[in-house]
Amino acid sequence: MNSWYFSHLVLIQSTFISFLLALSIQVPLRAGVFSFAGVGSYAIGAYAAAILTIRAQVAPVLAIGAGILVAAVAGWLLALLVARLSGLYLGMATISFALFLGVLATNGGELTGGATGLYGAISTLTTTHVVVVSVLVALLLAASERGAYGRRVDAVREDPHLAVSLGIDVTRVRRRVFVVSGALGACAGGMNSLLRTTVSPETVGFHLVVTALTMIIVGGALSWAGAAIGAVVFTWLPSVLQFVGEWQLVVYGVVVAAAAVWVPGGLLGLVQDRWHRWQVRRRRIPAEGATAPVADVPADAEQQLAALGGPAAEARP
Amino acid sequence: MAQDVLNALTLGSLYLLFALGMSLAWGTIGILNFAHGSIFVFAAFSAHLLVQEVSLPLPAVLAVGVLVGAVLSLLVQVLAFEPIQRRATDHRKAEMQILVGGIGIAIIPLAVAQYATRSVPFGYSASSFRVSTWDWGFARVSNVQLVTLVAAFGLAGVIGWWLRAARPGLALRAIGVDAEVASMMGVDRRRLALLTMAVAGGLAGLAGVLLTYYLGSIAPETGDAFLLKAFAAIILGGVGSIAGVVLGAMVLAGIETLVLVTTSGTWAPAIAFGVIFVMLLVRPNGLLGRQEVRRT
Amino acid sequence: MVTLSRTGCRRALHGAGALVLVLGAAACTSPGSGTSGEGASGGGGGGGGEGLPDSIRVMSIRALTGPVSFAGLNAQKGIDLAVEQIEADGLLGETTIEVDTRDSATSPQEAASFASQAIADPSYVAVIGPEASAQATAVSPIVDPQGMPTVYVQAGSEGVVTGDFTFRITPPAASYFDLAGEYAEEQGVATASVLFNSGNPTLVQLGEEVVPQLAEEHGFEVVSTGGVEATQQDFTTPASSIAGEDPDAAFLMVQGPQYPVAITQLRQAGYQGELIGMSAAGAGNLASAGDGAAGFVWPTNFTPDQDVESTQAFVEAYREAYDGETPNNYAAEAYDAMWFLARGIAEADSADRAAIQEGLAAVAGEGFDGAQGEVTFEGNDARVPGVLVRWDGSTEVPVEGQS
Repeated sequence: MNSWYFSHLVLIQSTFISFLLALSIQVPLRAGVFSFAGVGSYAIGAYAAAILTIRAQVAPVLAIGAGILVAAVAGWLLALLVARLSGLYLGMATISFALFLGVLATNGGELTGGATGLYGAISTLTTTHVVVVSVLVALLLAASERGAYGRRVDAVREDPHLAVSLGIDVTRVRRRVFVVSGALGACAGGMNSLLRTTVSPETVGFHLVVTALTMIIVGGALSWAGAAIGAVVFTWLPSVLQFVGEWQLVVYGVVVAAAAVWVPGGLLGLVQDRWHRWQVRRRRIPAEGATAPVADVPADAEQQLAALGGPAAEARP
Repeated sequence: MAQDVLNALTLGSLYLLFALGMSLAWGTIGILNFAHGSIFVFAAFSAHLLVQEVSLPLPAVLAVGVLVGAVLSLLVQVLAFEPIQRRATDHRKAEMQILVGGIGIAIIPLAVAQYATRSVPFGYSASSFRVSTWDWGFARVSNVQLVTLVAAFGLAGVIGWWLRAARPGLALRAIGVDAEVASMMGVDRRRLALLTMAVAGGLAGLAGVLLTYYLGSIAPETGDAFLLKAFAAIILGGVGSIAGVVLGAMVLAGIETLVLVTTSGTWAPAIAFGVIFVMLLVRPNGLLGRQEVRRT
Repeated sequence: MVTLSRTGCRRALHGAGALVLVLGAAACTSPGSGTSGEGASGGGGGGGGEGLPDSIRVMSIRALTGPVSFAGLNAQKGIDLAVEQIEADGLLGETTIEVDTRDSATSPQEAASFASQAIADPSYVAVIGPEASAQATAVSPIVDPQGMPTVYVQAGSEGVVTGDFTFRITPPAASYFDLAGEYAEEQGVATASVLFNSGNPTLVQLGEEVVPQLAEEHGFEVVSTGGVEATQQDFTTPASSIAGEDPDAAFLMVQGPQYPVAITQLRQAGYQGELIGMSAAGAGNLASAGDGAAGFVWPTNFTPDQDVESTQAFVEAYREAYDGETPNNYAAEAYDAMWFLARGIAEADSADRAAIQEGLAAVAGEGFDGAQGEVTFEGNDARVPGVLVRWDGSTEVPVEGQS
């Protein structure tokens, strides 16, 4: 067990970092904001932490904290700028932002190490810290998905118009998710730089957008648990696929495509569906009138959440 | 100067050729196909395999590319996108699933081509077509450059006309505006969607072969690089407008060329993305996009 | 007796067939019997591997799939050939080498993960590191502090050779790039333009630092320096500007698949002068440009026709093992990496990682004759004399008249 832990330490660390990165895309998505700014924030956090650690030898908490602060402010400013955009237009604008930062890093000269990037960012950050941070984040998000606040966010996603008429400040919710997404992305980036002790423009590129999006959609788009499932699956899949040799990428593609086509609610939706059916069967007939229609409706994560008394229940028109 | 303009137009044509099929599918049946780049490369690659066996003239190679592209695109539609649309309850969720499904599917032909070529670039040096250049004094132009320019603007014109004047085109636009009403008016959405995807795939294949001729050779990863540019060109021009894609591709290419000519070039991508960002802030629906009703 | 890598039965079958052919040839042509190899193989051969277990395991982290698979797959062939020869040669006595190949698919995270798995498993004595710089810079901070001897193939960036335990068998292009300067001087080049890929550290360094330095030393002037995107596809605009400047030479520092396009488009733009590149242009990348790229020259660390005895021995053995296929630089480098490792192990006469590191350092201090020619080391980083090659329209040939 112990030897297994050490030999898979990198993957264990990567799982938590991917989880935080996926969350930085998922948090805005839950509020109906299609923003990839989290990937840009990842770059900000990664470089800020590496620069501060190498040049000033500050403690990891400060190095990462500074990155989080910068990215959160950047997120807030970005939210002000792109307030008029929505849907894929917003997606493109935020991708531009993220890729712009990548080019900035390549051309940053001494400060960012140019195309080579930075290395030798040795710090005292440990896996335990990463796990603690991830668990805290998950708890906070889980809390935010429940109760009045969670319902407000769901309302903003499902029907912004209705949300406004319910007295919800949609603009404020949107701005807030940009800030949270920035902080989460920067946290993931900073921790990754310090654990790997290195960062380069190559590692903060467009592939992060693809990875994070895939994790969320395949895992489940509407809850932190979906991001967690996605992070575990896609961090470990390449190792699991070693045995297929040269066809590794083909199988990977098939898995992603099949999940997107056949598991519309994500793996989380699948799990919830199973659990729900099991619950229904266990309770047997008494509440037939209440449960039957829900059980008949085909898989849809929101409806399943609604059936479970989850956050979507009161937001649906 | 004249040469720079010509170069920018050619680069714009390359982006346009790639983006046309993507824009057609996205603007009408609402499918943003991220496997487009992969289809593009695989069609070019299939043509390469054939050319290795028999020395074919340019039109035959183009036909092979179009055919392979159309078949692949139809397969993707039938196997992945149709089931997604059938099962999805909510339009936005279907969009996301199609996006990720496309990303997954894109990996498959790419990995096959990478495996077969070891990621070494391939070309059509075995084809009977030969590149020749003419020097006009103020600018140099090659025959394949002319073919690319004519094909890009010609196809954009034909598709634009088809959408405006032909019956299936009109029906398609009707779907783009309101799918449900169009269905009620007797439009067969499934058949039209298949037709659109076949045309889009054919365009991808055509673009792949033309590009391989123009560049001399391409590597399997080429599609990824073009995908992002085409996406930017479409967004810049405005989804659903063929004139918009033409404009978007030309503006993007123009900016990139300008940056390459006037600076040392390392900032080119940053400036391109910066401009896209600013454009979107100024015109949130692209240069020629439809005005969508936003409620908040 | 010979254990090939575990993954891929395809290779194992192939290897078994090739083995019969190789053993005969390898026994007499093994580069292990070269001049400076004598010391190492004498020590190992005499000792007969007394301090070694029956079998030792080495992890080879290769990019077998993905965009740099061309490097990984060729490197793997080089390693397999080297293992067969080492065992036939008796360098490690009766000890067999088990190479465990892992496919990192160009992901830094995967590469780092495999390295940590190798460290945690005491049966691994050394690692042959990944090709891509981004992967290597993720592996080094793991292997160096934890004392795992690692030999890199390619990985030309800074931050790879970071300590005692990290070695690199591919010399940096900059170390033998003076060949290009000499060539330019011989050709009477007075002006030059530079075009480089701004996304790759090695290419940026060559374009921004090395070529201007050559210009100073060899009396030519750099009239323009331009960068292109990492994934640039169309070179029409840079090609036109270079053709417009019409320098005597154009230095193209781009990635392998970009070479045929850049060269073809420069020629189509009407540029007639000298075209000089770097080693990424090799390994078959120019084949699709064919005659259009004829006359293109680049300095490289290895070419199959270079006039060096140890290189020719390697090329011959490789052709016999792989159905007449000619090796490229990736195969040659990986072959040298495996031999280097084996010599280090023989020198150490122990399967202990720290001892192997000392063995490697000792071998590095002496240098040896390998597939790349005379390999010497500056610290832990390899150096070779290098050779200037020219594309003649179908293959690369050494440029005559080079001293």
